[in-house]
Amino acid sequence: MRKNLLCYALLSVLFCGFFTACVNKEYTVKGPIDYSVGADMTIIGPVGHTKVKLYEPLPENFNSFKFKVKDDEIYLCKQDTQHLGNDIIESLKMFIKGDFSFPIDINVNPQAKQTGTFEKTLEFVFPDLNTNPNERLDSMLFNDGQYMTISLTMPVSATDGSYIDLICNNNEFELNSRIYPNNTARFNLNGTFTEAKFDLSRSKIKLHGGNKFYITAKGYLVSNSEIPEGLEETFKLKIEKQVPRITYGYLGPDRVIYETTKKIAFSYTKDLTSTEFFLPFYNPVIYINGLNSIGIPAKYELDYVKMLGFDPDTKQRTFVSADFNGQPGTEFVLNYPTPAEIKGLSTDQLIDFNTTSIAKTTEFKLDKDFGHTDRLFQIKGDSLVYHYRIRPIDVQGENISYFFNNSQIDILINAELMCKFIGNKDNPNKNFYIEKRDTVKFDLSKASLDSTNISLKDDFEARVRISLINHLPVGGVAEYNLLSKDLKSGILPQKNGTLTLKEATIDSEGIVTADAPNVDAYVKFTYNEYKELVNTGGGLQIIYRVDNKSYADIWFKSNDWIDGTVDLWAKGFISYDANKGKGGAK
Amino acid sequence: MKKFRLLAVLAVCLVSASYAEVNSLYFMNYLPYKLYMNPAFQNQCETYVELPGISTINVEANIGALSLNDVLKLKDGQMVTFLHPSFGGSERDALFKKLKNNNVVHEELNVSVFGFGFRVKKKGYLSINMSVRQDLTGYIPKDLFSLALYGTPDSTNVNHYDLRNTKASANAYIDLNGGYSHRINDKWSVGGRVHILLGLANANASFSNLDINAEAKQWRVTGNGVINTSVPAMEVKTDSTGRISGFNFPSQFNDYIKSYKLSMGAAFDLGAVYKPIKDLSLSLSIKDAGFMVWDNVNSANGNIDYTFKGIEYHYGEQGVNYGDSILKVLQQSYTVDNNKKKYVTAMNAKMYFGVEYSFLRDMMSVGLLSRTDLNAGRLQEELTLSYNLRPCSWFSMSASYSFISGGFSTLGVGLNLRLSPINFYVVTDYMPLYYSAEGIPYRSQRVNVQAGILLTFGCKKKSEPLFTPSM
Repeated sequence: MRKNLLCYALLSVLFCGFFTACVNKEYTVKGPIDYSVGADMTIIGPVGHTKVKLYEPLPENFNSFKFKVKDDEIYLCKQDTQHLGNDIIESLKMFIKGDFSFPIDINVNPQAKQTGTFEKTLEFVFPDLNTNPNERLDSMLFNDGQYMTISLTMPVSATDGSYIDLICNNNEFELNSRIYPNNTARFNLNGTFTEAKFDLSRSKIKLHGGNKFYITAKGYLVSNSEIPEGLEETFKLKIEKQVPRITYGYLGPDRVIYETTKKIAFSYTKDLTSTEFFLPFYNPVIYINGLNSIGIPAKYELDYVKMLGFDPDTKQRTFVSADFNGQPGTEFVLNYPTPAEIKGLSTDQLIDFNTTSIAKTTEFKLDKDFGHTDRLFQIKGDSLVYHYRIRPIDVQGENISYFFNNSQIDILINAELMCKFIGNKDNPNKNFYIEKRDTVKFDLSKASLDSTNISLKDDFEARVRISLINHLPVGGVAEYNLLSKDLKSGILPQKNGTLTLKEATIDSEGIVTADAPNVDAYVKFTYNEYKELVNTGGGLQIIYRVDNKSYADIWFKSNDWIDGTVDLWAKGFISYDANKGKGGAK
Repeated sequence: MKKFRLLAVLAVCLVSASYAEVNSLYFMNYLPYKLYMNPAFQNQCETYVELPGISTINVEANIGALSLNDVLKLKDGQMVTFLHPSFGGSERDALFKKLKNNNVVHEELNVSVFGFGFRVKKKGYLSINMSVRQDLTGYIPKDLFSLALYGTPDSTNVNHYDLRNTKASANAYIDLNGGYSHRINDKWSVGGRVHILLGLANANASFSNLDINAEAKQWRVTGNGVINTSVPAMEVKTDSTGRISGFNFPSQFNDYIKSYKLSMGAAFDLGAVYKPIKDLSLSLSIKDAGFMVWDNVNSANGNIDYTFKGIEYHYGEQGVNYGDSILKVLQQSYTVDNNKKKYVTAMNAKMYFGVEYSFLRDMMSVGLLSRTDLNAGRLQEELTLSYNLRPCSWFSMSASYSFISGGFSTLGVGLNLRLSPINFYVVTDYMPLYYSAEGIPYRSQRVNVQAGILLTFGCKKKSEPLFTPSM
C-alpha cells in the first residue's frame, strides 16, 4: 500500500512538472507580433547597373527615317519607291486615236428598186503617227474588251436582211477570228441609223512604219420602199484613246520619256531640332535600284543631287551638290527586257503574259567614292533634292521596242547613313556633336522597401557612388540629379552634380579600341538628407551630352556603350516597421 | 500570421540530427524500445504488441543553438522578433555568440505501424516492427547570420561569407525490421536486427563550395552544388539548354503509384550486453549501419557564378525585381542530369554504450548512456545520466540529464504507467520548463518526445518490496 502511495506521489509530481511548471501567459505567438526590423550595421552593395548601348535610347525611327543595326553597324535609313510605269506609257503617246467619216454611194437594183448594194474602200489615216524619225509605232495587239465604235447613217429605213461587212486586210488589221471569221466584221442594219461596237479583243493593227490602214465597207440594203437613185449613206468610225495590251515600235534617243525633280525631306533633323546637332556622315550611301519591265533600252540621267540646309559656319541657308568626277550629274543604263524574251509567243500567251517575269533590275550606288556624297552632309541638311530623266538609247542591232499595258519602271531609292562621322580639325564647327539629352533612370523604388515604413536614427550617414565607364568614341558631360517618386521633379538639388566623360580611345578609323577611364562621383547624405531621399526619392537621372572634341573621325558601333553603376555605403541604424503607414496595430 | 507560422515552424523544426530515439528509453525496462536501441536487450515482459499508429509516436525538433525565445521575444509586454529595433548591439552579439559555426535545423517523425515481440524459449527474444519515418534537416552556416545581423562592415574591401555548409535534406521511408536477442549465459547476451528499408521520397541539396563576396560594386555568389531527388512521378521540365524550367506532378494518386520504382535499402544493428556482476550491466550497440538506394531519380548539377551589380536596368524596361534575379540565377546555374542514375544515401548510424547499476533489488538504478551519432560524416556525442525508479509494477519513471557535445545540457524525464496489459508512456530527453500561453516550450532549443500505448504481457513482478513501512 505504501509502495502505491509512493507511486501516486511521484506520479503527481511528474504531472505537475509536465503541465504546470512555468507557463508564461504573456508569451504568446497568437497575439500581435511586431515585425519591425532594425539594423545597426554598415552595409555596402550595388544599387543599380545599366549598360546603355548607343542606339537603345534612340527612337526606332525619325519619321520616315529608321534606325537599323546590321553587323555591328548602326544606320539611319530611308526608302522611297517611285512607280513610273503609267506615267511613262502615258508620255509615250504610242496609240491610235481618231474620228473618221466617209460618204458611201448606194447602188439601187433596177430589177428590185427596194434593194441596193454599196462597197467602198476606206482609208484611216493618223497624221501624227510615225512622222518623227526618232520614234515609230509598228503594231499593236489589243486587249480583251477594247473596241472601236462604228455608225452608219442611211437615207432610207433598212429592214431585215440589210447588213454591212467591214473587210480588213490581214496584213494591216488582223481581227480575232473567233469573233470575226474571214477577217470580216458583219453588222446588221436596221432603220435609218445603226451604231455598234467593233470588238478589238485580241486583234492586231500593223502600221509597218506608216500611219494608215484600209478597210473595205461592203453591204446590202433592203427597204420597205423604193430607194431613189443617187443616194448616199455616211459611215463613221470612232477610235478612243486606249493603250493596247502590247505595243511594238521604236523610240530614239532624242525622246525623253520621263523627267522629274524629287525632294526627300531629311525629317530626322526635325526630331533633333530641340537641341543642337551636327552629323557629318562619313560615307552616306544612296542606292538607286531600277526594276524595269518596259522593253525600251533607256538610261537614267541624274542631273544633280543637292542637299538643302543650313551651314553651321555661316548660319545661312545654303545647299551643296554631289560631285561625279567634277560633274554635278551622272547617268546609267537601265537594264531592260529584249524582244527575244517574248518572241514566238502566241496571241493568247501575250494577253495572259506576266510582265514581272521579264522585269530587269539595275543597281546604282552613290557614295563617298562616286558622288562625294559626304559633301552633302557638310551642312545641316533638311532636304535632299535630285533631278533625273529617262531617255531611250540606241542599241546596235535592236531597233524594236515594246511594252505591255502594265509594264513598269520602279525606281527604289535607298539611303543608308552609317553612323560614322568625319572629323574636321580645321573647323571645329564642322565636327559631330549632339546635345540631345538621353536620360537613364534608376528607379530606387524598385530596389528599396516601402519608404513609408523606414525610419533612421540621427547618426545615420550614407554615400552613393555613381561610376561611369564610357565606351563611346566621344566624350561628353553627364549630369546627375535625384528625382521624386513620380520621376518628374527633382529633389535634393544640392546633391546634383556633373561628371565629365572622356572619350574612349579610338584608332585611325575612329573605332573604339579601349574604354575611357571610369569616372566616379560621390554623393553623401546626412541623416536628414537620406531620410528625404528614402521618403520622397524615386530615381536617379543621368543626362548625357556628347560631342567630338578630338575632331577625329568617329565611328559608332552598335555595341558601343556607357556603363553606369550606382552603389551604396550606409552606416547607422535603419528600422523597418511593417505596420507603419497602414494604421494597423502592432 | 504567415510570418508567425514560419517562425513557429522554424522554432519547432530543428536540430542536431541526433535522430529520433529518446535516450531516456534506454533504461526503462518495462518498455520494449530499448530493444530497438540495442538488439541484445530482452524485454522485461514475455510479450509486447505495438498497436497501429498509437504505440510509437516519436517527434523530434531542433532549432540548432536557438530556441523560439531567441527569435521571438517578449519585450515590454509586446511580442517582437530578434531583429526589432529595440534590441541593441549587445543583444545581437549575445544571439550571435549562441550560434554554432554550422547550425542544424531538424525535424523528425517516427510512427510505428505495427510491432511485437515475444520470448523464444528461455534465452531468446524475437521482435518485429514496421515504422514510417520522415525527417527534414537543414544546415545554416553562421556566416549567413553574420550577414543578416552585422551587414557588410568592411566598406573598402571584400566581405567574404563562406556558406559551403549550407545543406538541406528530406527523407521518407518505411522501416521493416526484425531482431533477435540471445542470452548466452548469465553474463552475456548478444543480438542483432535487420532493417529492410523501403524508400518513399528523398531530396537533398548540398554545395561543395558556396561563397558570397560582397563589396560596393558587386555582390558575387559562386559555388558548386548538386541536387538529388527521388520523388515518384515528378517530372522535371527543362529548356533547350538542359536548365530547369519547371516541374510536373500528376493529378491522380494512381499515377504516383504506377510510376513508383522501388527504392530499397538495408541496415543492421548489432549489440551485446555484459553483466560482470548481478546488478551491473554494460551494453554496447551499433545501430542503423546501412544504406538506401534511391530510384525515381532526378538530379541537377549546379555551377553558380552570379554577380549582382544592383538592379540591372535595360532601356525601356518597366520594372525589375530581385526575385526574378534569384530565380534567374538558379535556373541558369543548374542543369539537369538526364542519366537519372540511382544514388545511395547512408543511414545515420549511431553507437550506444550504456552502463547501468541497479540497487535496492532493482527498484532503482542509475545509468550512463553514451550515444555517438555519425551524421553526414560528423561525429556528435551525447551523454545521458539517468536515474530510474520502478517502485511498483504499474509505475516507473526515469529522470535524466544530458550533455550534448559543444552545446547545452538538459533535463529529461520518462513515465510509464502499466495497467496490465496496457502500457501508457511518455518520455522526453529535453523536458521543457517554460511554456508559452499556447503550451509551446519556447525556451527549449530542442524538443523530443515519444509517447504511445502498447500492450505488454507476462511482465515480471517485483518479488520483494522496496522497503517495509514501519506502520
